[in-house]
Amino acid sequence: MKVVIADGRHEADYLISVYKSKKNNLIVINNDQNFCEYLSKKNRINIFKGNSTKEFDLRMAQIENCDLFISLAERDVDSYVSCKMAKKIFNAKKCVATVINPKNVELFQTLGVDVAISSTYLLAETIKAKSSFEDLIKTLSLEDDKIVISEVIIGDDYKIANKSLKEIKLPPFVSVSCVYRYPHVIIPNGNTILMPNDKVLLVTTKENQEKIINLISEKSEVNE
Amino acid sequence: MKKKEKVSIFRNGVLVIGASRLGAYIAMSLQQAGRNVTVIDKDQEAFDKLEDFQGFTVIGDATDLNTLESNEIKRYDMVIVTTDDDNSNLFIGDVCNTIYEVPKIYIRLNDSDKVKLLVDSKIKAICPFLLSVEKFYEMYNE
Repeated sequence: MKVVIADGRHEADYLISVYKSKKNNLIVINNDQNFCEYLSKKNRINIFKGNSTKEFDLRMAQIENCDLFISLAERDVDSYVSCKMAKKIFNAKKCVATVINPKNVELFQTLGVDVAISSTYLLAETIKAKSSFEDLIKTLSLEDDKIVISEVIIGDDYKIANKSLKEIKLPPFVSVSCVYRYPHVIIPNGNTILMPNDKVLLVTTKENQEKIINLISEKSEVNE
Repeated sequence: MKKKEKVSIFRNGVLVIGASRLGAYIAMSLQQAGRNVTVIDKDQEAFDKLEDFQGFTVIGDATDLNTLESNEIKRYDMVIVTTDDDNSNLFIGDVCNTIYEVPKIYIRLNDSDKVKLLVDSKIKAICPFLLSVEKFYEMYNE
């Protein structure tokens, strides 16, 4: 496979080690003379010093018909232009660009870059996926973080949905202080039923916050 | 409903991105010719080049979609991109063309090789190098 890695610092370094070991035809282009020397020494390969957004330099590096073109340029516009050049002039099969601005992920793909990757975007997605607090909108801390008020929206697949507080049997370390069901504000008692889409305010101590949110947002088992 | 859509597609006005010497000159002359002109530049000082300019000036980075959206890019029927960076010009030109479908787009490219990237696109390039070559042969053949 013919792989081109353009620009970048430590990402380039790492990608070189990945693609070098797989016995690909690897072409590396970098615009920084010192960094070229460093990469070359460390990985024992030839590095082409040049500007990856200039046609002449790309031609000298012989990137024609590469299978994969990876641009790691510091500025998003540079990544875009080098990918576009690789695709349009040098017939690259697949282009990958790294972008700083997460909004450019979708935009680059609309504009014809095969894959755009933003580390900020990936980070945010990972945090979102890992976090147990995904449905938690706001947390308010009082008395030096000893008391926290959390706002949770009841999903219709939650175990506790459509049950009264009496049935739910919440542990003693939490108090459901308020239920907001548009447009009403309900001060709950044992007979109050939590409906899907209700906004529930929970008062807990800091230590118990995660425990109680996991308990509330437990999904009901699907009976099929 | 249809009427509403028609109103929203109505475009008028010229957007100049990058108050370089060329951008500033075009902005001033089009404004004197009676067009509504808005100029965007990252740098406040760039606007010093605009003399007797009655149009709008906006400080912002046009490579960010938010800047284009908040300036209602869809109101313009012409965009002229003259920042001093070719790659930014190409990117902004493509965004205005593909995403916002601006009818007339002109971009400046100092690197004449990059003009090839605009083949099959309705974006028109102003390339000082090619213009100089053309002018030279014109004078040479006189």
